[in-house]
Amino acid sequence: MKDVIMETVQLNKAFSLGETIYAVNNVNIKIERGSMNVIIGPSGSGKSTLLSLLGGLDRPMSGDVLLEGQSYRALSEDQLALLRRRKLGFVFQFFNLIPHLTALENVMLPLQFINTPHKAAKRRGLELLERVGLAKRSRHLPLQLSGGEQQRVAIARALANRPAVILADEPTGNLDTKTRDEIVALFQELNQQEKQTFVMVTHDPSLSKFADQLIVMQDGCVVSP
Amino acid sequence: MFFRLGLVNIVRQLERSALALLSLAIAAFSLTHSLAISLGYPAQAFANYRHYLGGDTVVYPTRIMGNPNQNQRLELHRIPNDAFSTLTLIYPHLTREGFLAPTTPILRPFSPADMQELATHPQVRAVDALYRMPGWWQDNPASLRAVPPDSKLWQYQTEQLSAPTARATIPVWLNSRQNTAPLPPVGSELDLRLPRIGLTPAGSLQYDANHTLVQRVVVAGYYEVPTRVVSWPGPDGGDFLTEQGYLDLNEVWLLEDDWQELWRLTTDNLPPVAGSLGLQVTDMSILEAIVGQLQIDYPEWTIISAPNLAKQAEAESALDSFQRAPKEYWAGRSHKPQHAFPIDVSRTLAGLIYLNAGLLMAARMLTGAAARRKEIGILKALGARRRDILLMALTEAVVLCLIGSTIGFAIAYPAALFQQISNGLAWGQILRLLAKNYGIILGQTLTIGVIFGLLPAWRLAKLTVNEVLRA
Repeated sequence: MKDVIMETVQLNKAFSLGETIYAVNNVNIKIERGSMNVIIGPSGSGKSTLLSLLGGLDRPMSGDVLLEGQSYRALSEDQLALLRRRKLGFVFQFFNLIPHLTALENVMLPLQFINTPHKAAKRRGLELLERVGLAKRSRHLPLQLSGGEQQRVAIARALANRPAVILADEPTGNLDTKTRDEIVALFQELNQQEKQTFVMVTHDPSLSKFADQLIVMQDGCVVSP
Repeated sequence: MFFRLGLVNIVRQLERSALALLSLAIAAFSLTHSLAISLGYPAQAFANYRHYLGGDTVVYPTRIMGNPNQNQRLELHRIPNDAFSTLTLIYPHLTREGFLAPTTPILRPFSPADMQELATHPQVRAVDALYRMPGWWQDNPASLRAVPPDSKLWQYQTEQLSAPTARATIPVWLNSRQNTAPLPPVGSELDLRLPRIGLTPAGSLQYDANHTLVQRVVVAGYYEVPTRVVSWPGPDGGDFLTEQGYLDLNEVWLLEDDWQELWRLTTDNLPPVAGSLGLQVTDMSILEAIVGQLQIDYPEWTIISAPNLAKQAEAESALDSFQRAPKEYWAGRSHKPQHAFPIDVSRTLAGLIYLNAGLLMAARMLTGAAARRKEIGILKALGARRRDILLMALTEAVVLCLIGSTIGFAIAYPAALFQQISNGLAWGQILRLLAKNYGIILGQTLTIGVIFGLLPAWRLAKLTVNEVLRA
């Protein structure tokens, strides 16, 4: 029996724009532990909305998300925040680093959220920056880093609290080709060597190539698999 | 963590933080200054009242609310309105409704030892006993007051006999502004009727109005004591009209020796007892601090500054009246009287500066709102709760307020400290005042800073991550 780490149950999310538009329509997916999952689809197909729902950043109209058996439905906003803090990592298209914190401080942030002692958090932060090839840039502020380097810091930050799942929204969408290839290689390495579970929204075919599961969306519905 | 992020934000937004800090410091400075000078008054403040009440501060021989330092049983008392002291004139509810006081005698006369002890107090320049007794002239109830020859009250004399009276007849001075009886002409004779005065076994004074003695006196002159000036709008929106108010009590002044002679006659040689003591203090600018210190040192007495008595008297319209001014302008509590010294606007000014500082605190949170919104969105995505965001904003506000109020206080307060130390105020009192004032400044600054600092953060913390990161 496969080890399902995350799943959705008849997930629905609609927006009322004059008429009701289903951004996510009756979606049922299962994410296996240690797998690379890529969500693709045309613009407006509901990919990012689905990712937000998986991350507990948004509430569904109906249906549920389960992470390691924990239902999101019964959780309050604060409980959802604590769940994100402990079990999820996020990588965004525009990196979303805190601009006045150094690379190391940005990586340490999720660890400090879970009250990791400062020394241990710093050690883990430096390990992760080393892992993404930025050990020498640990004291730099985000603005002193290139786009690729910022995304590496964001990936290190997402890995910091050893999350069950990393959710990435167009992680290569804002990078040049060379940098994109480096980031794709990093994701692949983390997935294959460390069995890190990923759910990514992307238009990038080079990421889709490595997907264990390719989820194709159209008009809010999953059309494949 | 969020505490640290708050601190980082202060440093990160150094320019805006410095501006908010500066404005908080200026507000704290102005309030400190206002509080420090509000301990006292200019040298000539309430001069007329101080002359009338017999000192810069008045000591009454009873503790209205009991002695807090002793485990005393309190009872409800009412002071008879016997014109023995100004206490019941200015606080008429003590007669009407009563007050809580210990079961010990409530009008124990002052002893010479009491006066000597008060005179040695480092902040007291002089102690004067104020002697009164009740009586009647032509059936009009009056308070007979002894006025020493060097008293400043004599400056309020308006008419007097051109030739000295024969010493066989006691001279008296009548208040030309009293409105209970037509004034007899200067030089005319009138009869004073005096009750028999004795002491109860408990030591209180008691008056026997059924057994009186009559003394023929001569009207040696009149006096009028100005109180406050009242203004009111003229008819049809014209210029403001003003009227000087005057003490309107039926108080008869006697020379000190004559008063003592009458006292001797009516009490069968009891030594004169003072209804209150008037204290001249060393420095009017710290008057309230001195009064506070005296009240701590002498908990068995009620000690009130003359300006506070004057304000209370004005609020009650207890001592004066007006001929032309509409009653609501002098008897109404909402109208502030005018005094011959500048009105203290420093509290109002401090309030406005605080408002300005609060707006700068809010502006500091809102300026660069896009960046701050994004930061809050990221933190929420990483697992920050709304309360964590508020803690971060609270840290920023509290730290800025702590530093700002301390800087403002530290700059303004040394002047007050110097004044207190150079006036020989007790160290305990100096420290109490310092703690009290710093507490007020800190409390005021924190209230303003936290309200204005937290409101914008509260609004931002309510946004969802999607609203913020996708904006």
